[in-house]
Amino acid sequence: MTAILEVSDLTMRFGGLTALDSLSFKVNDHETVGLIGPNGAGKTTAFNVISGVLAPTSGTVHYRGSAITGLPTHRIVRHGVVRTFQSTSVFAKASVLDNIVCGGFVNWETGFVSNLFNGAKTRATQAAARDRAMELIRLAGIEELAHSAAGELSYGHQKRLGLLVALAASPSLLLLDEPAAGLNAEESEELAEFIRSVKQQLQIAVLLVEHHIEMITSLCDRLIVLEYGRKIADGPVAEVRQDPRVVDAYLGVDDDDDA
Amino acid sequence: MSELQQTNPVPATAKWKIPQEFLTAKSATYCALFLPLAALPLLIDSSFVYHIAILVCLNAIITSGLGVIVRVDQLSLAHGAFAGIGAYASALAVIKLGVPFLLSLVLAALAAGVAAVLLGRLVLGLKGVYFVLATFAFNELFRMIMLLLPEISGGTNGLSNIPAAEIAGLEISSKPGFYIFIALALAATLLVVWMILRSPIGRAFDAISGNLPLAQASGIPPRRYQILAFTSGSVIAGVGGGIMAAYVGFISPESFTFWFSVNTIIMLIVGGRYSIMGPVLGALLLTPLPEVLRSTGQLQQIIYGVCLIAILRFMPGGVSGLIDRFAELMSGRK
Ligand SMILES: Nc1ncnc2c1ncn2[C@@H]1O[C@H](COP(=O)(O)OP(=O)(O)O)[C@@H](O)[C@H]1O
Ligand SMILES: [Mg+2]
Repeated sequence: MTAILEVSDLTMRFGGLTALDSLSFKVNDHETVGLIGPNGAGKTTAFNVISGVLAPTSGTVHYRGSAITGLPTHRIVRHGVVRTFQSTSVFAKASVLDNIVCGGFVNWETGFVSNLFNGAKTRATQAAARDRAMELIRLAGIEELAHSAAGELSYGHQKRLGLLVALAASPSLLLLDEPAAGLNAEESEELAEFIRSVKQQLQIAVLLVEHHIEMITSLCDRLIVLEYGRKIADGPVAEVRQDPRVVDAYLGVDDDDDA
Repeated sequence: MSELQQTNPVPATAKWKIPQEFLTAKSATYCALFLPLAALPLLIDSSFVYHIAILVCLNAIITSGLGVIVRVDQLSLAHGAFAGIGAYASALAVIKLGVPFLLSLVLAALAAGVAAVLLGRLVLGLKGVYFVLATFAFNELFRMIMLLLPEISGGTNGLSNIPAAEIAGLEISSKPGFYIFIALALAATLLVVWMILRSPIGRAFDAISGNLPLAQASGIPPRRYQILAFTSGSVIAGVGGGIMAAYVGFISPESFTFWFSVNTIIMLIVGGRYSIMGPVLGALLLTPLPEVLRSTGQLQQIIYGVCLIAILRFMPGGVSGLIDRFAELMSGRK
């Protein structure tokens, strides 16, 4: 197995607060890694730094051998690293289909002149983007919602749409920030199933932040545990779940009833 | 490669087909509204009506430019300055270099475009109110620089010897001639704006204004599209300024104060900033207003302000928002 994502010595300070403290870890090709830890441990901050929303105070991020530290988000997406958001995040006024088409922007960026005159190239890439969006919609089994406005969907559907928007960008590493937050047990089960089938079909790596421990256990090959921005464990799921420090810091205390 | 990553072959489409977007209840409503209206001045054939109609078209062109800029959630208070840059570029080219009128408009577009790219690179990183303030400062800067360069700008006296517009040897300074020219220019402007907004470029604009973090996470480079929107809109203002210089025959730095920008914003909001026709409606309603309200003296500003607040409060989509809703009702959708 080869490491595709390499995070080295990442530190992120907000004023006096150290949200990430010399964090280092790797994600291998096709691997699913769980990133867990109590609220405020720095998981979302790690995503923000990896995806280019924040420039780290120090440390580096490499993806497939290229330094992507501090690059703007839109360039990191072009390397194949795509993230979702912890809260629901959709283009509220656009339809579900258009949301996913937008998510696939990197696949339909054509020249200015072709765009302006709706040239053959633009029509072709737009049609391809729509086809692909429809495929994703079918894969998620929400055909009946394809033309609904995203802002009017239920919370659960908006969360799922966020995932489809990210998938449309053809990631090779998907960063999922609490995809099951706020979903009930049945919905989380469905989502886990969906992530599994997507992973299998697309052969991508996933870095998953989640509190639903069943979901993590069923999906992940490996777990990384954060506490106060520091990595306190990294290994196979079964092993990490037994680690007394992890049980103390996180698993034993508050299970899956986070906000 | 997996089944999901394959792209399907694209069905061949006929080359010249009226785009679907044209054939909607909305566009039918606008055509029914505007085509007779556009013909009206020719039928009435009064010099005053021509004059108002020309100003409406001029304001509609300039406001359309601002309509493109606000698509990416940026409100420019420098719109007057870009109209001014275009006006001076065009007027100076005609006066000093004897450039033909149409070519002078190309120069106006270029000058405004270059200035917009430079200013855009500098200030488009700024958020919300800071961007508005920076554009306000630029508008004042433009006015001050022009006042400091009387050899170029004519200083406070302005440029008053701008020759009448001439196209292919045909003088269009007569009111009907200029009206037809500017109506066509407005139609061309609306067509260009429509082309930009219906294209993937417009999609990227909407994504950026709809949800910036998600747009970025989808790989859309916001700065590039913000500069594109700012530049396209400012170029349109520049062309409008060039046409204005030729029509009025006189420009000075005081023609392009920040109030020019504010009036443009008001027309856009009243007309409706979500629709391509919004600027036309705004210009149509507000351009004649000062003439109508002239007798009310000081009250004019108050009436203006009350109308604006009422529109902001009760019709956030402006007048075009109402028309869109009407068109939707007509086409049987809820
Ligand atoms: N942009 C920010 N500015 C200031 N503090 C922040 C910012 N983002 C996160 N933090 C702080 O960093 C810490 C880690 O937050 P976060 O990464 O969201 O935790 P998690 O996702 O693990 O719950 C928290 O104390 C949070 O308040
Ligand atoms: Mg978080």
